[in-house]
Amino acid sequence: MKQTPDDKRIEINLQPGTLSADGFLGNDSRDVQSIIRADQAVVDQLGLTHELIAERLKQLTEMGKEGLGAPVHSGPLEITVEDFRGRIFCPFRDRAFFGKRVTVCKDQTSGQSIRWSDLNVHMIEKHGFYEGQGSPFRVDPILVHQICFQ
Amino acid sequence: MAFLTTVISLSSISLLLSVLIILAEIRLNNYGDCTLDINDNDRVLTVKGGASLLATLSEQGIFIPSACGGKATCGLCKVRVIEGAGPLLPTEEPYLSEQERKEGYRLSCQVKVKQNLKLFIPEDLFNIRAYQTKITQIDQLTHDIKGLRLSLIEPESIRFKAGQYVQLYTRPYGNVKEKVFRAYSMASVPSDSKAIELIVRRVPEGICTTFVHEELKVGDTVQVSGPFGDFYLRGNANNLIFIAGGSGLAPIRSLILDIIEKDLPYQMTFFFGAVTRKDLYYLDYFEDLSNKHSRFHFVPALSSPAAEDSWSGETGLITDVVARHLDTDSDYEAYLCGSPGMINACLNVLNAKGITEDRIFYDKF
Repeated sequence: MKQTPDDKRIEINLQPGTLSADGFLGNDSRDVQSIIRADQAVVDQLGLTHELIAERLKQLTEMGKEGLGAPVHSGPLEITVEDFRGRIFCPFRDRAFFGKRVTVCKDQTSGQSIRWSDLNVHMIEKHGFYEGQGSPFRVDPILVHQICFQ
Repeated sequence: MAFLTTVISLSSISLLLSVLIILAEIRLNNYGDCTLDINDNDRVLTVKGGASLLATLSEQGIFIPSACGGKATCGLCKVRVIEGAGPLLPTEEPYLSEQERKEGYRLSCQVKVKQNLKLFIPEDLFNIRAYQTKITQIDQLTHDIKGLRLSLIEPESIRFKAGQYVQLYTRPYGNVKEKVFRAYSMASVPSDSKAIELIVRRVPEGICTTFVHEELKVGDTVQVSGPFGDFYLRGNANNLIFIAGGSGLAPIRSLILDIIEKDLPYQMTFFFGAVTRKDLYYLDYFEDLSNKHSRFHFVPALSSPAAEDSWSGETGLITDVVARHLDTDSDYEAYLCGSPGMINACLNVLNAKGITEDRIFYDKF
């Protein structure tokens, strides 16, 4: 299918060096739509939805914010929220932008951890995009399920 | 033969259409020379149309504050445009109040110069200049914070108010093909006018901070522009409270050093919050300052000290520490710099202590 100018701009936005140093696709050779379709299948298989995942991540971020940078505990989870200087646009050109807030959630029982930004939560909720394999901020749905939905 | 004729005809039509599209693009995107009438004929500039107003003014040596590099995410580059800006864009709407819209304020990064414009720019912005600088010192202050000292090459000195910021320009590197700029507060004292010091915390995946942390070396030349900002001393109270977290220490350091150097008669307390000892820096520096100057008190605090920190200072969230130290009847003015979460939480504490909004000044990340 032919790309529209907007698709091209989105593709540029996802590349390293446009909105973030390493971009959003990592070493994934698939195109954005293929990445989204594959993650959609995984999310379906887990019995979740993008909205449910985004809601849970938001809930954990809210919990973590109480620590003002220090870890907050909820059951087996240790949640740390850090704010960094600046804001970032959504690469999908929907005019949404976010403060550079990063949430790290660690399962103290298994030792597994996952991190996400406020932008990640938006991209999951509105675009079903979890970032490409190998991307520094990829939010793997399976890992989210294992850690955040216990 | 008929097939060949059809192919040639179609190819000719395609070629003709392509040429027409290219010519139309050249024609439509060529806005020619445009006039910028600034402050009622005070300055009239002839510029090449086609770029954003922010970039066009910058080319003319007029630097409008911007922290995001022209991406419509900081809302700082507001300029009052009376004529020629075209309709308000959706990207500008979140940053402009109803009153500002009525008065013609626009985000200069979103306004494209396509025709003659009439605009107003505050006089003090004409003092902002671009500086060529040389990196003379880089210190690793914590695991993710670096301190930079930049000696000014051209112009050789800068005048600024303690608490203000500059914009640091990167050069293209790695996958980053374009020059970008970001805002950083000056940590140095204004009297040290031949150099500036910046404190830069690494942002995960940040384009500019990755440049600073991985690319920048002593001896490199970099461009900055400034000074910008209205985070500076008002001094309408006897007791000044300073609260900072992380790289938010930068403007606070400049303010405190300036007050001490000028021997201004304020009592000052600086609360510096971090999570563990590894996140604190300039600890000895401020403790030394506090020992030498009886009117300055330094209160570093850790919210979650690690066992190996052997920390004997204040512990707890910075909000709790501030609440423990402040009276409710003192004459305070407060200056805060740090994350939105920290600032919002501190505002509640300061309000509860009776410090009114007009006596609280902050620089939110």
